[in-house]
Amino acid sequence: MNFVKGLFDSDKESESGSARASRKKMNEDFEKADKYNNSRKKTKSGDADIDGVPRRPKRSNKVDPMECEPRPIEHSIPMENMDYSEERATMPPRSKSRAVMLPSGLIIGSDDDSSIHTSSLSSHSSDSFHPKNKLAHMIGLEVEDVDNGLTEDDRKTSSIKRKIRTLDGAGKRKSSANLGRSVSAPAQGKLSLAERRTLRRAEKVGVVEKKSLPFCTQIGYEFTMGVQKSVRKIREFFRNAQIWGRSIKEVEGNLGSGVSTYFRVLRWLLKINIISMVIALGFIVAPGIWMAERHTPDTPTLLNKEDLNCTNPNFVEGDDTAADISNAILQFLTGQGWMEGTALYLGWYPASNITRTSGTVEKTTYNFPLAYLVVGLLYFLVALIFILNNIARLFKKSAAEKIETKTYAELVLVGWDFTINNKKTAQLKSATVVKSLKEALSNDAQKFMKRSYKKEIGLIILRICTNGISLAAMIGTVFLYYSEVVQYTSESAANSTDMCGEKIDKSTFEDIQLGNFSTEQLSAEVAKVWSSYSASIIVSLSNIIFPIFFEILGNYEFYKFQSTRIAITMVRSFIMKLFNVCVFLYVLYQATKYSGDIKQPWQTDNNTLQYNCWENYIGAQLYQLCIIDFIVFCSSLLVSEVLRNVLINNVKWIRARVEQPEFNIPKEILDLCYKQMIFWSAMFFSPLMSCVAVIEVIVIFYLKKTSALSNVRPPQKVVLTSQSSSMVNAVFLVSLIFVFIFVGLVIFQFKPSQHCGPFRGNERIHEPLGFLIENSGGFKTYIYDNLKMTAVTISIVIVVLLIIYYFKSLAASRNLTIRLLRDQIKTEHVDKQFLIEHIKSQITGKPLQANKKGRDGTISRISQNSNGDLGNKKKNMTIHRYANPTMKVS
Amino acid sequence: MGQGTSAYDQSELAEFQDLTYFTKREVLHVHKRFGELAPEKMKLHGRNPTLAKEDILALPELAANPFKERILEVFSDTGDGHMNFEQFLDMMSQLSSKAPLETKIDFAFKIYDFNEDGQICENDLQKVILFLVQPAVTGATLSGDERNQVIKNQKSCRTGNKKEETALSDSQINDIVRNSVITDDQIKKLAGKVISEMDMDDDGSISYLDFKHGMSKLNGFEESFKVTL
Repeated sequence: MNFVKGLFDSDKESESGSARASRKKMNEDFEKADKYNNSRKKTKSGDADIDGVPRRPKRSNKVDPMECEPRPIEHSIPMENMDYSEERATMPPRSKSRAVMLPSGLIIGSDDDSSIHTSSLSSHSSDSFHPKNKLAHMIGLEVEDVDNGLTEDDRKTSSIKRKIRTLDGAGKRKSSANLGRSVSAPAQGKLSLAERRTLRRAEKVGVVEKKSLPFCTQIGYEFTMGVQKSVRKIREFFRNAQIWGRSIKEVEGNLGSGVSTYFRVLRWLLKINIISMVIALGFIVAPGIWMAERHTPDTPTLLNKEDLNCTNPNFVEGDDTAADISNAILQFLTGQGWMEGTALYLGWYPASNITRTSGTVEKTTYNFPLAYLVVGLLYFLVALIFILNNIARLFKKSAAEKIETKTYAELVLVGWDFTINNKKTAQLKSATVVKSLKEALSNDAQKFMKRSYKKEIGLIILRICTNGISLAAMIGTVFLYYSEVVQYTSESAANSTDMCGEKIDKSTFEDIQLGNFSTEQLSAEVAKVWSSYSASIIVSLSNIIFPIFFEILGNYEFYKFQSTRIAITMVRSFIMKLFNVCVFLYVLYQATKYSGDIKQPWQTDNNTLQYNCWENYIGAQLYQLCIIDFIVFCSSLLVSEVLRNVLINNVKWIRARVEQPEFNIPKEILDLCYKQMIFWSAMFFSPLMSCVAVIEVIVIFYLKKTSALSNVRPPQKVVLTSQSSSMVNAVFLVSLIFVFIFVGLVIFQFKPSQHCGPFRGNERIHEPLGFLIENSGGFKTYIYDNLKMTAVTISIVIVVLLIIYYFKSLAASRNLTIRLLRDQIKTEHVDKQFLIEHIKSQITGKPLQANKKGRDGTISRISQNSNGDLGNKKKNMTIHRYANPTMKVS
Repeated sequence: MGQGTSAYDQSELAEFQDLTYFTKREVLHVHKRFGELAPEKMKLHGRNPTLAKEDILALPELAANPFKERILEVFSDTGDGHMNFEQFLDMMSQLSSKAPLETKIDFAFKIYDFNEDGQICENDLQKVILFLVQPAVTGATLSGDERNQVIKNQKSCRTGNKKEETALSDSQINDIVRNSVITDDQIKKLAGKVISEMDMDDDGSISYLDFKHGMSKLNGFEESFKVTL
């Protein structure tokens, strides 16, 4: 009993020096003894759970302590030649103060973790199945001396294993510290690389036998290990195929991991676009070109290139090369004119199938319209899979718990960005951390600070105003856009002239060339050019201006939290972008709806060209938008980052007034989303758009990277750390859905142009699919017919909603359980403490003192139960655990 | 023990590949970087020399990190930051982006557990915050040498069983801290808040399991806790 007493009296702050010294010495002895023994357990660092060799409790020679191992992979301390006093005395203060030897000879270490990990991991170690042990686990205590539940086999632990343990113990870096960890932090004792290697070699030679496992378990282990290995190999392969790793690391080191998110998103988009491109090139463009080459011009299915050019009359021909070139460039930027006769657009593709004539029967081997349609839908499927994959990964992490956010823990424990390798950035980062820490503190203070009524009302009015302003601004843009574009379109429709957009009159062109033109002519020309670009220009400009506007607006709204402000600005900008794209698409929809229903649209009177190919028109408009947007992006990059930085560096006056540009992550990511939205909407109408997308993403990456590394400072604000990635995914998902609705409407509602594209001759674009299904059997037809019915669709939607609701309520109830269980952990901790105190008082003979920390209710409850008999107490506690109401919930 | 461009032959590389999260190519890359830290030692001691802490700290990927010395301490066998290539490789492998979350949490726990008692207590957290603040503080006021001293001082200020105390006294450190950015009071408050957020069983400190549980729920840990060579 003496040692127990000494144990409690020992200094709580530091370990007893002599004990540590002796401990160390002992380890050294073991090391010597086992100098030539190489046998080690195989562990791959970190993959501790893969470890296929769970430890058995070993029997020591002199004393007889069977320790109950908290975890199989734990490298326990060598126990030979050692008595309890030694062991206990060297335990770190925390555990030490609560470890007790019970009268029955059990040692109870009231380690905080054991209650959790023993119960969760007990199945790993064979001895934990012993009833006595199990009981001890149940009450969350660690029992150190349980030996009567072991078989004779277990007792005959091979000498090798013992030595492995000894080595493990001796090989630890800081024996004193690890001793403590062997109790408190189960996974702390990792083997070093050299040790792992020794083990690996030993295993190869066969020194360490795996025999100790039952056959089935071993098979199971090996199977899981094999699966994990192959999964890792596959993952490794993809990791190695990762592009831009170096660049992203460079950005990360200089600007922190926040900014690198942007570049990761870019890389992610590149992946999506590359897959789309491969699909498009493989299944549409290549067969299309092949077919176009095979067919002779007089085959009715092949289109005349000229037929497609709605700008035919104005197409500058031949002689004048200068006009030709400038015309060609202009048309390249707008995606009209000669571009319309290329494989860029849907209209170019033939409507025929690739056939094979065997004998006299022609057999369709490749149904091109069907392929086109399916690929058009595949783009969305690919993107959806990518997004859902991301969301699922995030969800796995966060679904379980959303009860509380750990602001401070996140700021402190995840505060440092280990990727930073630039001194200046490190300083900035540190300043940012300090700033956000203080902000968090003041936020906390503000939470409880109430504003006066007057102020509150004033604020509400202010916010209503600002929201009104931002809404008005959005609607204003839409209106401007509508009046500019739609009016123009209807005007030209009324004049029944060419509506394919940009026109440069040949005569005017010549006039300009010759220098004899009036100002009216010029302004008319400018107006013409403007009207053909207006749509894209308005949309692109509003994309640049509004985010800045919203940013400024957000500053005057006096939000309590910085993060709210950023989130609101982000949401506004996103809505605006969505608005823009939707209006753009709506106008296209409106403009083509009309032409789609024209029964005989192909009246080739020189001046009355209807939309001879409205699919091309949509494609050209989107292409144009994409190009203009890219130009606007480049110029804004040039002005707002490069030029600004150059001026700041060189002009003193400006340096004093203007700050270095900051990398605004949410804004930039939204910008990417907007670009991708355009790509997605354009892909169906122009298969080569995916190539454009790939090229553009690559160019953007390098432009942004260069500019970011030289011109931009890392963001100073806290950027929505907690929700940012899920927000990014949500933003992409929403935009994908919107675009899909547009494309879906086009596919199901519009009559395809009768003279171009793979769908000519059909009533609706989706018909090839319908034909396929109708031809393939009654049951599928039945399903297809029914799916088309509204009632079925609605009921499907309802069922989906119900399922979602079910899962939501399931999650809610789980959250409740988690909360209750968490309370239980706390209560049990108090129970445990009380028990320890009680036992302590019994051992030392001192009267039980009231626990300072304990919850009074719990203690009195337990103390009523306990009558001094340990066995009874255990039972009581076990019952208490099972009778706990929180368990019923789960 | 060849000294050529690839110091390790295929079977050894395969072994490293099995033992770390790196591929063969990456192992060689790490070796190259390691060699660049102290070329003359490489020449003298062959492929696996033991480099001094100062040599390794010169690694640009670590140079800006306020926790760098702590990282080395945790990872070196001797506890003083000196390490040979294998230890270095091991460290880099666990810091790489390929290491599983659990390994990283382990590692982070060891780093943050300054007094190495298996619990992150309030004192540890205060130190973590001090370290976080360090670059900003030193960027504002201190030169490199002074900074090192401050760090050393803070490291040994509570462990007791560590090295001898160095020149700067606690009050001086406090002065520096107070002068610049954050007050002691704030630091204490913050440490308390972190504990109250992470501590599941209400015992006033973060045990390993608390930590493991809490960290796996925190955002951005996996992304920011890595060093790529």
